[in-house]
Parts: sequence; C-alpha cells; structure tokens
Amino acid sequence: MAQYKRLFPTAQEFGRWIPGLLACIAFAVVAMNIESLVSSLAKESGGFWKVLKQSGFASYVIILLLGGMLIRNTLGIPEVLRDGVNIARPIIKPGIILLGAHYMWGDVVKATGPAFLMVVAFVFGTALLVMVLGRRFGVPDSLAGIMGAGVGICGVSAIIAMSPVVRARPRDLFYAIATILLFGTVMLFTLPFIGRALGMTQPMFGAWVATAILNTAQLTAAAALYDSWFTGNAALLSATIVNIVRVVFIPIIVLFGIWYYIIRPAGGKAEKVDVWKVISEKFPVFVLGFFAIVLLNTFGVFGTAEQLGKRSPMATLLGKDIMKWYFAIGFAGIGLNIDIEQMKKAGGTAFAIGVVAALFKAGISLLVILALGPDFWARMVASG
Amino acid sequence: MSENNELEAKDREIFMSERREDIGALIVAAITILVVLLLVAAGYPPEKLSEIVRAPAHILG
Repeated sequence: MAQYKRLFPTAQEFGRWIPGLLACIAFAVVAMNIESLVSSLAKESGGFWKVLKQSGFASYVIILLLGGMLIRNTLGIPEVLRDGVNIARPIIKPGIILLGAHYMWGDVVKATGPAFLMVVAFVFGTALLVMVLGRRFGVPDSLAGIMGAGVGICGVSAIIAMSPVVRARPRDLFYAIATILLFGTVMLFTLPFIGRALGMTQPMFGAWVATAILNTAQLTAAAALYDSWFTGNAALLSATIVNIVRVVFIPIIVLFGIWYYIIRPAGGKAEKVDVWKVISEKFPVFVLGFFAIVLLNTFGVFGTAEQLGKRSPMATLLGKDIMKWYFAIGFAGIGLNIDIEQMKKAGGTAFAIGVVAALFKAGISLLVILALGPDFWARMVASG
Repeated sequence: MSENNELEAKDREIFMSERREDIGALIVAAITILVVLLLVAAGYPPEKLSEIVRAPAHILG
C-alpha cells in the first residue's frame, strides 16, 4: 500500500498518477471487450467459445487479475506507471459506495440481520481464536494481535488499525499483510469454483466470500467473478452488505485489542482509553458514503422504478454501469500489484496460525450458509 | 528517533493512507452523482447515459 504524509494529494502527485491510471483504464477496456467478444462468439458459434465462457476464464475479472499478475511478474511495471497503478486499486471504493444505489433503507435493515450473524459469529470469533492461539503457541503479542484483527475482520485495514495497540514492528506488519494478501489471492481464484461446484446461489456465495476472504478488494473481485457466470449481481450485493457490516467492526476489534493486550494484563491499572478517539480514527469513513447513497435512493433522488422489485434507470446507471468501470479499474490495479516475490516472504508460526484460522472460518461459515439454505440468504439482495 | 516516535510516525502515515483512500472514494462518488444528476437535469435520459457508459466495453462484440 502506498503511504502518504499528507491527507490531500499535491498537483505533482496527481500528475504522477495519470500515466498508470490511463494504463489501468486501457487494460479494463481491453478486458471488458474480450469478455463481450467471447460472449458474442459463444452465442453465435457455441463450441470452444461456449466452453471458454462457461469456464469463467474469459470474465473481465479473471482477465484483469490473472493478466495483471502475469504482466507484473514477467514484463514488470515501468517506473512511470507505478504510482498510477498503485492508486488504481482503491478505485474499487467509490464503486462500493455507488452500489448503495441498489438498496432502499428497508433492504439494508433486512439484509444486515444475516450479515450481523456472520460478522459476530465468525469474524469476531476468528479474531479471538487467533489471539488466544497466538498466546498459547508463544507468538509475540505484536504479531498475534495484528494477525487476529487481520484474519478476523478485514485484512489489511484491520491490521493497520490494530498495529499501534500491540506496538507491531514493521516486520510484523509486513508478515501479517503478506499472509493476508497471499491467502486472499489463493481464495479469490478458488472459492468461486468451489461455490459453483456446490451449486451455491449468488447471495449465498456473496455471504460466504465476504466472510472467508479478508480483503475488501479481493472479495469484491471474487463476488464479481461469480456474478459473471450468472445474471445480475446478487453475489456482489450480498458480499457488500456483509463486508460493510464487517468493516464497521474495525474500531470495535481495536477496542477489544486494547482490553485484551493492555487493560486485562494491567489488572485495571492501565491508562484510561479515549474510546471516541479510537472510534473516530479507526472508522472506515467510506462506509458513510454507502449509507448516504442508500438514503438518497430511499428519498427518491435517483427517481423511482417503473416496476416493484426493479431499480430506477438512474440507480442502474450509478449502481451497475458506472460502478462496473470503477471495479474494473480497481481490479486492474489489484492484478498489476500482485507481486509473487513479496508474497513468498509470508511465513512462520503467525502464517500457520493465520491460515489455519482463516481456513477454519471459511469451512465452518460454508457449512452454516449451506445449512441455512438459499431462501435465508435471498434477503441479502435488494428489491428496489 | 526513538522506537516510540518511529512507531507513532509510521502509524500516522498509515492512518493518512487509509483516510486518503476513503476520503478520495467519497469525493469521486460525490462527483459522479453530481455529474449524473446535472446531465439528467439537462435533459439526457439515464437510459441513454447507461448506453454511453456501456459502449466502450462492447467495441469488439
């Protein structure tokens, strides 16, 4: 992740982003055209093109991720494109905000029930499991704390939020982030195929992937890939709701970390914690944008749908057509930032504990999602 | 620089990165909505705008 000393970029920084951003936009256009070309050929000629389409490897998501990874690790990224390619990855976030145009407030209230269930039971439970296992196997608190937050809540963001609490060393941060990204990359390319083999509906898969994958960008990509095999974007909608609830928990896991690592061992003699400061500093503010869009849609700012159960044309434009471009540019950024050499450096006991806990969470959450059945998860998808 | 100061500086830098991404996302989304609302107010139907947005993805097929 790029790191900055100032909140707002300078004109010079903007200038440095342009070449890489343009390259990501061009890559996204190429990938989307390959997808639509294969789709047309599959309809017209069938045969090989139909098999290729059904395999999922002609999806723009896979082309951008695998293609990007291939380019990065064979040809490399020229220096002039580096800054823009780095800044392309978070362009997924405005896409997530615009996805709010799919929802009415009532839909969000209805969907957050199952999302809450997943987050509290699995995400919070896994964080606790890693912290306790870390203590049991002698992993330093500095590493177990950030791994617990990362594996449980929301990958890189939670690792970063927890790091000052446990006084994580830069090396710990590096190990934890590398582990989360390596795990997410492997899951991103495998879970959609497992979901399809198990015949999961799109909302079921979305809920699963948002519990099992630990990074917002990667789980968004996995859900988009799954949706590309069906019609509509129900996996993306379901994954987004679970993910939104999950990232809202970041400040809570940080407060939990303060209690677990600082207040509890000190037996009440620790310094007083400024809870409001923790919440305001760690809260992922982009989530507010998502809720603002849901409210605007609920108040009819984006027009009304012609039919019950459909979206208005403006909500479709924002929450589907424009959103898809933001996602595509972001996926190009993710693919072009997957550096295999960096990932090889993940390892050690923390890696083993993190991966075991993450696999455990993925397995158990899959069983729960399958047991609750498709009707339960269908409510995750908006009706208006 | 002491280890504590170094950690605080690192934390501040990371906080800036996260906040910058989030605020940037809010600004980009707000600009997108504003542009769409202005275009619709100027008489462009959203269906037509959707077609324009989708077009670059279908140059080949």
